[in-house]
Amino acid sequence: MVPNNIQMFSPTELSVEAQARSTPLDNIDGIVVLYQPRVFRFLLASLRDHDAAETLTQETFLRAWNARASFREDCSISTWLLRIALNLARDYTRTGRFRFWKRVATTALEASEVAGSLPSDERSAETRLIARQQIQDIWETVGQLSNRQRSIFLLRFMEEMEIPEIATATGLPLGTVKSHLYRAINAVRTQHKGALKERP
Amino acid sequence: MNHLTEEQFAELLAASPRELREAPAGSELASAGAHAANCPECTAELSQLRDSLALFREAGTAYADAHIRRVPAWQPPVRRGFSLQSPYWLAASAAAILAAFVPLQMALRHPEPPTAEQPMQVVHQHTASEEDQALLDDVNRELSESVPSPLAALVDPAGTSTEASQNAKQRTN
Repeated sequence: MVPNNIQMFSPTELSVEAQARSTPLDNIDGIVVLYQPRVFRFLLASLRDHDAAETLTQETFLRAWNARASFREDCSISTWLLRIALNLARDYTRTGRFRFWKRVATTALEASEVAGSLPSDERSAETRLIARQQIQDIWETVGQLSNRQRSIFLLRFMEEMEIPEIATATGLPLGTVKSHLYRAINAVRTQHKGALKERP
Repeated sequence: MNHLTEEQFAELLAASPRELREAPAGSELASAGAHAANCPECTAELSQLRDSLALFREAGTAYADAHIRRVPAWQPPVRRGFSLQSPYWLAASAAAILAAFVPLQMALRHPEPPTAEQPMQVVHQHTASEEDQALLDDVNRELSESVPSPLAALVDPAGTSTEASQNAKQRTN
């Protein structure tokens, strides 16, 4: 027995009702302005290729737009977008084309380029030089991590996401995320210690 | 003095400021934090690595921000409704017009062969034109004669002139 206060919909009415339901992604222009830089930054740091990062950034928003009705608001929009970006990046790095272009990469991002983009401020020339070297070292070490460790490390230290958010974005259990993150941190720490010892 | 283990160090580094503040007393994270607070060596290493990671983030963000300006802002695909100015509608209209007029033009340039009913009309038309032609021939012949046909009897009442002249010719030969 259906209570009187529940409105019944026929299947057709229900689908129209579902289509008419507004989602937070309806204001796509505002979302693009807010999150496109973040998605691009993550993809650029993950893939280290300008062209691939640009293409997959566009693809991320297209996928998000097409699947906007399925956004359940059980996580933030940025986490949802990064999850899409992460899946796209993972699929992309599995292709043979990526492996080929990685070897002959002309649009690949060099550590020195990133280190050179450090904003100029009141740091002395010597401090800036040391800072650039530290950035290059970390960039190169992160590049040597496995894809999964690198993604999780970037989500934590580039995107400043907390571990539960990373677990949502990657779809991995909390313990697995922690395990990958700690291994990545240890790799970076070992390199960092060595670099500090080498410096006068 | 024991220092932080690899796991404790990683846990401390990975924890956000909020997680450090809210770590329950007695937890692994809380005890690692308590050790770091009293160990200058561990604190120095943690601090140096945090600074390096902050620089890494700063440079990565600055680099990406400089390049995102070159990337066009994504636009949602436009779903076209029915419009008379839509290119699809215009193309369909042009195709329909062509489909209607091309066969018409072809028919005008190359008339179809006569059908079963047409031969009767042609025969009828053919007969009429023959009669007309015969009438015209008669008129021409009469006009070309030196003596009009009604007066022919007066010129040769016996109607033998021709036979006589022919007999005369035969005799001379």
